[in-house]
Amino acid sequence: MSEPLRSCAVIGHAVDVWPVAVTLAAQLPQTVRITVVETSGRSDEERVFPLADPLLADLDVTPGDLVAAGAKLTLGQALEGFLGDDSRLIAANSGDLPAIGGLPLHQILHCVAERAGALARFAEVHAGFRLGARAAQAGRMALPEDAPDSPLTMLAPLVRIEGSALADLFRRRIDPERVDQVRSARVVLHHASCGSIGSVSLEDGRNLTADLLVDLRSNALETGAAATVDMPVLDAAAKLGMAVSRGPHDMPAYKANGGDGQSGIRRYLAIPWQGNHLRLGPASARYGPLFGLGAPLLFAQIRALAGCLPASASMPIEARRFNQLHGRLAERFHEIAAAPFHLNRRPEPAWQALRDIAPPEGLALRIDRFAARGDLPELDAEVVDRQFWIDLLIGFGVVPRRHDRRADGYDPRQLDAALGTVRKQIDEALAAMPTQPEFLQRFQPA
Amino acid sequence: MSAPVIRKVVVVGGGTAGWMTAAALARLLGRSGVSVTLVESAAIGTVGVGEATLPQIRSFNRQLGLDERTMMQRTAATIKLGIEFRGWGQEGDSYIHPFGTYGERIGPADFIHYWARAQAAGKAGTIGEYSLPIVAARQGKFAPPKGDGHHQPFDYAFQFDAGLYAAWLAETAQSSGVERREGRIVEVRRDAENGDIAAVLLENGEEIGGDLFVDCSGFRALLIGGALEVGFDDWSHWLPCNRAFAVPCEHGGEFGPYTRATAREAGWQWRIPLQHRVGNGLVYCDAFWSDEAARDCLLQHLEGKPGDDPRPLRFTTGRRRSLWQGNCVAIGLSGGFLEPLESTSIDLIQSGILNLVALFPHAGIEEGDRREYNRLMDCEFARIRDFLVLHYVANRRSEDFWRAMREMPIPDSLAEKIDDFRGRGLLPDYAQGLFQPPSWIAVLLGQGIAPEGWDPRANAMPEDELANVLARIRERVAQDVAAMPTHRAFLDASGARYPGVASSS
Repeated sequence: MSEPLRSCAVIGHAVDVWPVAVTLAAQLPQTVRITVVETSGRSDEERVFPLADPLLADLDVTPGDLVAAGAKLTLGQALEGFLGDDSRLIAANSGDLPAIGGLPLHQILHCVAERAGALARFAEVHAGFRLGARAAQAGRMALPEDAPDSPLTMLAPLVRIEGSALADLFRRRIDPERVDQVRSARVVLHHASCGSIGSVSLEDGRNLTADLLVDLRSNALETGAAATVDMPVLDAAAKLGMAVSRGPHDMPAYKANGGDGQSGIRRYLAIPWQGNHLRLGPASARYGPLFGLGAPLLFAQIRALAGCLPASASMPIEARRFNQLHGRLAERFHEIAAAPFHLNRRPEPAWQALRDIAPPEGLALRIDRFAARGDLPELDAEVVDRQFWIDLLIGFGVVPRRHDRRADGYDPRQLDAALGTVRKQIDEALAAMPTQPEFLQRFQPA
Repeated sequence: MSAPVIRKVVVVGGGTAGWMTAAALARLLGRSGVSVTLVESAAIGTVGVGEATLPQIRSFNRQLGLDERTMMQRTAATIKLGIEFRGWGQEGDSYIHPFGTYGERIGPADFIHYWARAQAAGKAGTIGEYSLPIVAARQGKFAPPKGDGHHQPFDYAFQFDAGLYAAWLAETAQSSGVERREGRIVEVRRDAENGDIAAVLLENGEEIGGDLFVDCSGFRALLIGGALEVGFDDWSHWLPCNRAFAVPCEHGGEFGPYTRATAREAGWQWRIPLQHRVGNGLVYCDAFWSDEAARDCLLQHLEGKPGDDPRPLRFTTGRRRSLWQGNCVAIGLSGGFLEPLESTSIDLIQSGILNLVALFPHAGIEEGDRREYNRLMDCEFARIRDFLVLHYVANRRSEDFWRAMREMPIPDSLAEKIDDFRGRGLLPDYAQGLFQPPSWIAVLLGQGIAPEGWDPRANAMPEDELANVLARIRERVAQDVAAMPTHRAFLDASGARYPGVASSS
């Protein structure tokens, strides 16, 4: 049996290190000493992540905690200009729409639209069923648990919070006695054998050693000889520029063809855990600003790490498993980030050329299957709900050529009536939702 | 001009696969304008193995609107809570692969890690003592899962007479509009332009045309192999058993709610207790055992009088390179064969059917649909294959066959899974795949592969407290099982008794 794990160091920007540190502190035995090295402190940069992210539940972080820390809640993100200069599409996470006759609602809708000769209006009619997107557009807000037997259960709010506030929220959850905290703007990693890190030099001259070193520095993605996976669609898109702003009702907005082209290539690490050196978050992948995928990726990686914490100071099995999980997660996020660029409909030659670049394999499969018959393959380590993909693909004009053949077996009048009932319930739920300011009042002290 | 709408399906072969396919297509797509014709010949026997099922059969029956109790009554079905493996690690050992889980959530790490830690300290029982379906199976008990959150969740399957199941589905299918044609197929006619199958010609001269053909002709693979000449991926270098004998026998006493697979000199013997008889068979590798010796071994180990002469079967483990080719879909033995060690035969039929229903074409057959069907089925076959190989590679038996099995090269994907479990208690993690973590725990531990490391979060609980928690779980499982009726009493009380079998007190 090899030596037990005795020490762990977490290095990076404050907003990234603390969710890792709080998880390790909660999960690892007290005998494992944890050192947190903040390479920089405050950050005004906003983080966006689902309120239902399982990491928040793992750490007992409630909506009230987040709002108290200054977070805003929203139900969607605006994609502007991807379908032409004046276009706006709201992307919203969402639970499944109610099935009709055991089939997904969009299959039934396609069947009804085709019979009525109205497939040209399929996307427009489908948009009426998108409660989350409509609520985001209207500035309404609610939580899924507010009405368990209503369409509100489909809602999947997003959290928007300033990076420093998020870092503070996590930092406060750790007993200060549990971790050593160090500030060091500059750190130098000294490599040992097989990708391991022997020691870390801090700017105050100290040398730090650890059995496990979790590296979250964004420049770590550019250094070292680790193999990377290129993301050509995102690379090309980065050069075209995209502006990030506040959209209607404070939802994050991403404007295609806005702002300057961004430097820095888009890629992720193929093997982020080598020896005792584990690279997470910004040290492991860079997707660009669209959809704010940085925080959800880091949270998913933290949960993956919790499932393969080292049993001892020798950790090749844990590293191999984590690397497998990371590979799947990184690809799932890659697919989400690439979809709006690959499916854009802008007329400029550079944007047209973007459509010709081969998309990630999983995205190609999703588009192919959905375009053929409205199917969505389930891939390992999915990071968004099926409905997100259905809505996004339809929103970008991917209308299935055919629907599930079983839908043809139903009486069209019954299907029409069922669709009408669902739509009415959604309209009523939307009308009853509070506005954003009304919603936030529930978190005010009595 | 768009291709014509696919309306007419011809199912070739009327065994379990054929009638399951015909019934499902008629029930699920009949209202959508799909008609089904099934061609079978009474002169051609069916293999009729695969009497043991997996819990997925329940959802298949539900989708077809088939009542569970009626199904049990019509097919002489018994309940199945898992599979017992006897002698697979070494002579005399036994473990059950349950249709359920182990223990309960007692901390941030999965139960298996707490158990592994306590086991290493000598403070845990066998893993089977923490699984309700295993304890119930060992005691011949059964009651349907309560699903109330207070009892350990589990599922169940059936052991049924596959011939009776096919006959019942034949009735169901024909009442749903399936047309049955009797006759031997003497020719398969192909479309001169695209090579698709246009029709099958029967001995009596009748020609049956269709838009889509489903090959359920068993090992003969009349359409997919014979007419379309789709190649076969041979996996016998990993699963070398290639012959079997099958024979029913009379009951020898109380039958438990589980299937049994007992390791023999160069293969293994199955025992599947039904209400009216016991299904038996012996799967073996002819490179290590003569037909005569295998046959004798099977007969020698029957618990009751044989109902027939042992029927020989020959097979090659593997699957077709393309299960959907042109306008032909291979379902059942025509598409591939994996030895019935984990009762996957009927499950693979179900998967083939349900994937076909989900991808059923409209006008013409799109290449993308074929590709997706083949992708899904390939994934299922490969993951089942790895799981089956696991049973063989970790044995400690002394016979030549078993020595060869543990010394053979194994798929890299499986070698990694074994290392991960042995080193750190890590289990396979994938969204799709028939066998999920509890199944891997059962076989890995059962074959003697114990975790040498575990999730460090399991160390947070003091050792004595952990021992107490495990003891409470074990007691609760034992109490829940004690409150269950016997398997036989359940059959009597539930109205699932097969007519002709006297009820027992």
